[in-house]
Amino acid sequence: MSNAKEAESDATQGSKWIDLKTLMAVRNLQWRAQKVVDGFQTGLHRSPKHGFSVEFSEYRPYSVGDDPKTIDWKLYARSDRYYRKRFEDETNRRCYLVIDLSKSMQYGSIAYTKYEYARTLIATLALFLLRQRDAVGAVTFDQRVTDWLTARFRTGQFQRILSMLSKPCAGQSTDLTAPLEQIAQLVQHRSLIVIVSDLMVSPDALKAPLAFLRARRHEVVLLRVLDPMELRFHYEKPVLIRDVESGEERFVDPAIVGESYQRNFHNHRSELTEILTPLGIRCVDFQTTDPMELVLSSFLSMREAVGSP
Amino acid sequence: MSFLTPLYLLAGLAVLAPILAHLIRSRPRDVIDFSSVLFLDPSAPRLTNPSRIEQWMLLLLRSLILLALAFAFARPYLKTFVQQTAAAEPGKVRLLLIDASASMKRPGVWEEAIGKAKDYLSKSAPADSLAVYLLTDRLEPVVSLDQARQGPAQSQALALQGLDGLSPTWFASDIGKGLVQALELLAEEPIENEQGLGQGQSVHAAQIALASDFQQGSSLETLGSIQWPSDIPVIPLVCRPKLASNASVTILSNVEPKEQESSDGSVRVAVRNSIHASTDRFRLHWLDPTGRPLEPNATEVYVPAGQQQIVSMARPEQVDPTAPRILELQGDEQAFDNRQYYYRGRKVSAKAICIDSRQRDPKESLWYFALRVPVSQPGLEVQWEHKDPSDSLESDSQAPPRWVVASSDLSPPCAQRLKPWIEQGLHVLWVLDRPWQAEDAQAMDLNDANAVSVLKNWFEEDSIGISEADSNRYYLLQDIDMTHPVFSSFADPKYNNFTKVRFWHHRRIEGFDTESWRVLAKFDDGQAAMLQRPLGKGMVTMLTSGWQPIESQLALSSKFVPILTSLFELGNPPPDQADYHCGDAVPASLIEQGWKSNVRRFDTPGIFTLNAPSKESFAIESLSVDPRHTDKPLDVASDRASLASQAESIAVNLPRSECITDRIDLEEFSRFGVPIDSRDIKQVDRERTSRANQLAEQLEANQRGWWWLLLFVLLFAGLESVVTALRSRGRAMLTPSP
Repeated sequence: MSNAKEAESDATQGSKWIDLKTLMAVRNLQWRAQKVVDGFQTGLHRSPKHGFSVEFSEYRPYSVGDDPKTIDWKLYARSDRYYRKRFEDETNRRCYLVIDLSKSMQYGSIAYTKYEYARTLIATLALFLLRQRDAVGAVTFDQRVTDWLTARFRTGQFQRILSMLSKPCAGQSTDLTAPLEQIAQLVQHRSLIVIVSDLMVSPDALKAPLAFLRARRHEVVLLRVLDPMELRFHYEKPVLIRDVESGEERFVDPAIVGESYQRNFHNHRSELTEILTPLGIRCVDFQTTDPMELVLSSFLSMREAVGSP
Repeated sequence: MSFLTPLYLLAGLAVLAPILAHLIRSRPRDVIDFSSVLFLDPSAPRLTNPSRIEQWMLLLLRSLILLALAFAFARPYLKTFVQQTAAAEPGKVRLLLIDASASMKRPGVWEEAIGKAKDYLSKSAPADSLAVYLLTDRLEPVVSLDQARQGPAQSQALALQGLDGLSPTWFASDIGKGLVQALELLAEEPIENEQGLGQGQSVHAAQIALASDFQQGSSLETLGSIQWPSDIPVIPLVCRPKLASNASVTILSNVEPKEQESSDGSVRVAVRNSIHASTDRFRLHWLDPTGRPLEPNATEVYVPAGQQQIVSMARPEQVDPTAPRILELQGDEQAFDNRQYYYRGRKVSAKAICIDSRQRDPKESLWYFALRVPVSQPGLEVQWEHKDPSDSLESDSQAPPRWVVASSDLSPPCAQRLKPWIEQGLHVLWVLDRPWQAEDAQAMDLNDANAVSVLKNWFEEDSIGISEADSNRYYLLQDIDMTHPVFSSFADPKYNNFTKVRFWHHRRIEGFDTESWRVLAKFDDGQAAMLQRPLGKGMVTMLTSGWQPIESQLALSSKFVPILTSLFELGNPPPDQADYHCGDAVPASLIEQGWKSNVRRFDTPGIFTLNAPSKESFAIESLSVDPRHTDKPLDVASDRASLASQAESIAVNLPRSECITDRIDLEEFSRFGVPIDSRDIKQVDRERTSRANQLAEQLEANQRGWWWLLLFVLLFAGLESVVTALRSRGRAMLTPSP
């Protein structure tokens, strides 16, 4: 998270990352993903911070004594430098990108919604992983799993993923229990399961299905997408708020409720941590204003911390 | 600063309405979608922090509008000296009468009376003069009007202090008489008399309050004798007993002396039960003076509520009928009127003598009519004796006669014999019933000689001349001295018509000493008809015409018997009754007989016995030596005591009127024109308040402060409109046009 904060501060400077507003303004999801991944990989070489990651170590510059077979010659062709790419062939993994289609994901206090951000993120991850020759699958769910794409590494997989992500968000309430159980039953092999959701559910409801996933030896990563307003809850005057999922209306005076909202939010986050930590699951919060590269970077560092499957 | 209707000030609380309105945030109209309300606590519309009131100016103006409206409705005014002078209202004269009659001895009545009296006194204004009188059958001052006038400031404390230690008496109450006396006391009030009574302003100047149980036995009849001033109200402070039921017993023999005791010794008794009685069965007992029952069995009496039952109570066997005894009523909870004390002494025989010639035709004689006049009295049996002038008066008995009626035939020896008796107290009626102008000179001379000699014998007067009056016409009585006891019973205009009593003949008496003789009546020719002169301790009354029909119509007139009876009673005052009532004056005759009393009136019911042998010791100590307080002058001849029957015991009873304890309807007072102010003290206070309000209204009407406040309301409302308009315009300018 410290990285995310630093990245956010960098994003405000607008010098290192792709302008997210501009990016999201483009409707073509593929283009968005490519731009991000390209930018990420391009910037990877310029970034003074890239050396800390295990993934980057796979692109570590060749040094004397290393096996020359590990040199990525394509990269050398582009960059005129030697990089080792040792795992590329060794560690093909299965990765399922799971995206939440509940109505709460349709909320956005800025120009785009959380869902829009999330599917861009999924596309980016998919592209990134596919470029790493990982088998990538995708799952969408609301109250249940709505679409399923088995993890494969083949031509057209990315397009299939994009096609799945192009469907509108039509879910109702957020319910992770049933979809996760379904996923656990459907995914037979050890996989990396990346869940992108706002996690607007009770933490207790997550415990059993996530434990179930972990019991199946899946690696689980939670990427929590939040709108800036959900974090700050800043309104000037009392408002009548309607829950987009349940339709419930509540009168809210921010002067009174603001503090309790923050308290409840942090309690919820703490409970999540308390549940996820024993399970060996990491959860990272992102705002829809965070640069995609930053999320990607966090994702990689998180994988490093968790360890490869 | 004061307010005419201060309750309207409560409307000033309406100022809270705009304040709340300004504090309460309006419910937002737009609905904002949010991802989840998972982290939101519900919150109702709440008051915002006062510091967040944004429209201070509007709030101020709206509050001022409401406050000014509330003040305007409260109608403020400024106190001025007019009200101060009104506050210094001249004090009233308040006369508080407290009924201290025997019926006030009922449980709870006296305490309530004192309580109400204190309440009444304590609520009087400081400038009021407060006088307190006890009301029985007369008024007795506790704090007199003179005392009250001397220090109005201290009169309240004095009156309150005077109430302590008072207690009800055994006397009867006469509310009518008491009120009339109270009015007379007020009429003697110098200031109020001049200022108030005549000018109709004394409504607030004098007031009579009466704390009483208003029992029906209290007489109101005296109120009919006066015209009650309409501006002096009577405030009734009605006291109610704890128990409304009451029964009483009365021995009816007291009412009709002739039937006081029948031949078998039984006595008729009336048992009265009150309207609100709770019991209707009673028992009657005879007790001896010490309170011991005289017979084992009681007489059961059933008296329904509100009725009276007459019972014949047999004399207890083996009891002397002349012995004193007590009749007690049992079964009634109000004990004050349940005993009747009964005593009948022996009757005394006496005689009256009519001296007239037996030779005359009875219808033309004096004695024929005189002997038919009943002069017997209770306890005194009088027998008439007819004697010829030639008869000796000595031969009959040692006891002197009670009365002597003599005709013109009275002889000088007879007169000579009568003189010592007269000087000892005998009364003689001498009737000149024979024409003076007799046909034969001898008879005339005899008459003249007899009469002159009798007069000379008795009074040693030689100058008196008697002659026959002109008999051409009849004569009527005139110049009758109605103040004299003989004629006082005719004083009422209904009875003082003597024109039907015509006198055909009468004698003229000339030359008598007008200072010694008192003329009681005259004929219409100016001659004396009845004249009187004392002789020693006795009295000689002369009638200058006869009453037989040949002389006049007097014997045939209804006036005859009363006149003769009065003349008899003049010399023989009615014997003291065996029954006395509390409140009766202790008669002088009792003092004569050796009774001694330190009180003027009987103040306690009971049987009192004179220890006859010594005449010095008394059974009851309350009747002890103090002859100074006797009501009647001791002008009765000392030896009359030996002539009269001697009372060895007397029975003093509760006044009968006190036994009638049902309450008077207060409307009775208005029947006599007495304005009853039946409002209680609180109402009177309310009236005082309303007078103050009237004054305040007058002040308020003069000042018209509410007009100004309404002007302020309009001003504030206008300002509020201006401010609202300016703000809305400013907001519209700030809002960017689409």
